[in-house]
Amino acid sequence: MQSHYEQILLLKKVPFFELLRTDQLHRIVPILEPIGWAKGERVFEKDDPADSMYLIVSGHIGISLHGGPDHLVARLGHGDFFGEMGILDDLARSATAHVLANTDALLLGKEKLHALLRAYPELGIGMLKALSRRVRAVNNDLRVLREGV
Amino acid sequence: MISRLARWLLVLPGEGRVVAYVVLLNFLVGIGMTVGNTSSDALFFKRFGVEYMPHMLVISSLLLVVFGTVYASMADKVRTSSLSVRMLGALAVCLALLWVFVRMGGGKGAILGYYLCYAIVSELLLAHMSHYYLSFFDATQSRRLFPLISAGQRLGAVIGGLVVSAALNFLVTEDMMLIWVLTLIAAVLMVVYYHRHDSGRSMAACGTAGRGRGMFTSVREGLEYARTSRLLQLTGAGVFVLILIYSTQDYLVSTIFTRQFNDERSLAAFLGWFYAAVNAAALLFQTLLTSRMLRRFGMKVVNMVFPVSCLVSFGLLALSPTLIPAMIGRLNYAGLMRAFRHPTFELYFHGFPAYMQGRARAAIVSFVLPAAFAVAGGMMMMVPDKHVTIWLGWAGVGLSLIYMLIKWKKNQAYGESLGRLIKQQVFSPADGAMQGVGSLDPEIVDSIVVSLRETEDEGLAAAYVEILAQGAPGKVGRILLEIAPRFSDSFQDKVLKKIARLRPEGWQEYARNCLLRGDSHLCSTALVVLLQEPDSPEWTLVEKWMKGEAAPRQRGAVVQVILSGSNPSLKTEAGATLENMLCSTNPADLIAGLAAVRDLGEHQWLGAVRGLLGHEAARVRAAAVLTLGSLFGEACEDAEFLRPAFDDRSSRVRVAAVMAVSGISDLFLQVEFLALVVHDPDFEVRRAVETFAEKFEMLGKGRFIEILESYFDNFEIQRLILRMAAKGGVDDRRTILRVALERNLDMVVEKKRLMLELDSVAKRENRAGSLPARFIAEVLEEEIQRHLELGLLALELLDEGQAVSTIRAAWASRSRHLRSLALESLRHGENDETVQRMLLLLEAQLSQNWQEIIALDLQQSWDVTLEKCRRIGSNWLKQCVCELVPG
Repeated sequence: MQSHYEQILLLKKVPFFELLRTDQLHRIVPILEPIGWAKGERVFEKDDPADSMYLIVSGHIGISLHGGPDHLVARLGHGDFFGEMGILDDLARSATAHVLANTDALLLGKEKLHALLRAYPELGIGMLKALSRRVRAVNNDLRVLREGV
Repeated sequence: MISRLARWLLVLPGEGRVVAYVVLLNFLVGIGMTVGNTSSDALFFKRFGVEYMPHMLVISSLLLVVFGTVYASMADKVRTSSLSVRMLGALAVCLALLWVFVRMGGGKGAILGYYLCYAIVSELLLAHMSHYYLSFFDATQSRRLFPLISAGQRLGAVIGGLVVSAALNFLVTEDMMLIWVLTLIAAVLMVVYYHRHDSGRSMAACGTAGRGRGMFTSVREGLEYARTSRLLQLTGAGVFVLILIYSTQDYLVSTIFTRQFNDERSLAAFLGWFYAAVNAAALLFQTLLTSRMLRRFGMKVVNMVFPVSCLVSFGLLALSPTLIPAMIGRLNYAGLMRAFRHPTFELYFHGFPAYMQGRARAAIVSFVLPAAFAVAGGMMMMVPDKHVTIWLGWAGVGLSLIYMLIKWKKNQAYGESLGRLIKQQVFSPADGAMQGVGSLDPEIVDSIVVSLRETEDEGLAAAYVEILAQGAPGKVGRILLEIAPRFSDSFQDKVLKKIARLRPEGWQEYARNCLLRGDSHLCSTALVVLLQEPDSPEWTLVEKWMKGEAAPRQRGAVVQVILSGSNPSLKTEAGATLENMLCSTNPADLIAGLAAVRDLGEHQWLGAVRGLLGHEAARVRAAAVLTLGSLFGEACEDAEFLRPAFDDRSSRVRVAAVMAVSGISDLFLQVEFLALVVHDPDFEVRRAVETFAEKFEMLGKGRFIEILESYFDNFEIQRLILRMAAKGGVDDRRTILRVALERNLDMVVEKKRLMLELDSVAKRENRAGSLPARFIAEVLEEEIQRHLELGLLALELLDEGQAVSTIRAAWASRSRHLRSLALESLRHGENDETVQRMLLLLEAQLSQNWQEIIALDLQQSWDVTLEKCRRIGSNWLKQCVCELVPG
């Protein structure tokens, strides 16, 4: 696993954390729990209760709405985060997360995320940015689908 | 070699490709325009005569209205690159047809068409291409690169002039049209190739963006905007006068040239080499002078160069209308205008909102240009042929003076416009906005009263009340009595004290009604305001209330009123009641008792308050901490009891501790306590520290410079100290802020130098990718940014006009576009040496180009560089260095 300072530099490159300074990230890194999965595992399944989100350090995660890893709607890698929807809207998981390659990640629990958002409101901007990007991507896909129809 | 050339041309890493494309494209456009200019002039002057030039100006003005409006409507619908292709392509087809027409014996009609074609194209195409080039860059990049881009066109013009002179040895003048067509085809291919990856869908999207808009909508909207924008009014006026100057000087110079040469070929050949020479001069000015003058003196100085040169050249022409002054005149309007006026003219468009830039341009092209050409043509037609040179020479002198005045005014308007533009996009809280309301007109008061009566929104109502309290204090009491019962208890609680202070008729009845409401806050406020009156009937009930028949909060309010009053008979009983409350096991009693002590501010209760600092309920501890803060007085020894509160597990207590700090009279101790929670994990605590300065009042003698020295490395505390110094009415606040500004700028340079040295030594010692090198560089970069922000804060606090507050907010936004606007705005003010220095540093930070500012010692070793980090870095940097590079 990476050292404390390497993790700070990693977080600095992640859009979610990019507005925070290194001294602020220095206080955040210990809050994040390192976690890892082997290829073929599932991080969570659709309709599981949501209690944490994940930030990918290395490896690949695929997201599917129905079925297995052959029907992915998104493929995530280094610096991406996933699982945040459920802990923001308090609903069950809306998709299944498949481990496509051995993956290391950092876990952030629901209560900790809420506390972090209260402590560092700048994180909210990073999160909104990332979520807007996803909405934009979904809109594009929708438009392509409609044009196809 | 290439990187050295790029540096010399002020091109930064990452900009090379786009700059090369734009310069090359402009080079091709420049060749074509010069070929067109020389050949159309020569053909027209010799086949028709220079005396028809004024008529041509009038005709071109009418054509410009038509083509300008078509252009404006297309500019809104079509993407800039696509419109470039269409304009260049249409011009190529048009010229090719004209050439065929001439070759088929079209004669004078085709020559006339060619002359008018150049007149229209020289305005529309060049305006559009400038707009296209600007779309690649932000304000700061434009200011740096636009002279180079224009130089591309000048170089093209030099080559174009030489091409004409050489080609005339084996071609006739009409064939120059074909050379122009070739350059246009090459330009179209370049644009298409550069934008080959732009998707068809997005092109279509751009195409539909303006669908449904009327043909004249853009022009109309631009003209409507001109009603409120002083900058656009002055830009329009400047263009109008410029066209008069340009046309006058062109007519004057052309008359002298035509008289000097007998036939068309010799005139075209002279114009060819002379235009080449003029453009070469313009090229030299642009590459060697304009960019550097823009960087050194700013737009406001460069903007004045052309008006001055106009005045001088017209002066010479008026005194001696011969070949040499005519050549100087041509150098002025064809060389200096392009070298100095055109680059700055385009840059001023950054003073308009992005959505308005196209409309402003459309209004100028479709309205101002044609009107100016028509007036210029009419003016020249009225000049008697015999005295054309003298009359126009002196008219030009007068026009130049008017032009200078407009340009001077435009500089002022640009600064104001930039400020407004930034204000629209950034949030910068304005202090004391309500204090500026002043006395309001009766009509405005009436309309606010109507709004207040109609609104259901308590927030809005509170704002209206505040405005009325400032602007019409005589009326607000009666209105409050009327509207307050409609709103919630908490709203009434907020306005009740205000009503009691204003004492409108019937206020006591209203306060008595409040006593009957269930809300304990409202009841206790009502009690306090009623008991302020010595003959109030409520005094007969106070004993009952003190004996515990009222809620704790009301009891506390009664006790506080009695103890602060002058009735000795009730004081003993009230004292005993308060003592009981402070010993109670009920938290509500304790909090109410503490609130009463806080309002009394009497030191005799200190022991009881200290005893409650360790209470198990956080809200009691918080109330005790707040009360303790109100009891410090001049002596500071009791303040030490506050220290544990900053470590309290409850953020509510820590916030209370921050608020209590304002009661300490020793500035050093205040700052020491605030430093304990400046990095608190809870945002509310940090916000309390942030807002501390807003409420800061000097209690004791301040020693800001010493404190600043002690806490300089702690950015949050330094920011707080600066705000406190500015707020606290300190005598030498300007000196303190200046010292802070200078020191922060020094640190920017020091830390940047350290960062560059670290980078250099890491590369030399093969540590470039190592964690310490990367991490320390990251922290240094953050600290440079923070020193710059603190410098801007000091500048803002020094700036009584408050113009810098929006600039600072724009810089803090991290948006490159806003930052470049902020820089432009700061640059445009009247700046002293320190601000000039800050500007240089901000610009270097924005472009990451520090070579010209910082001299490096590249022989440093890794250890020495790290030692420097330990010496000048903040505590965080020192910690990083120690942990990343032990020993």
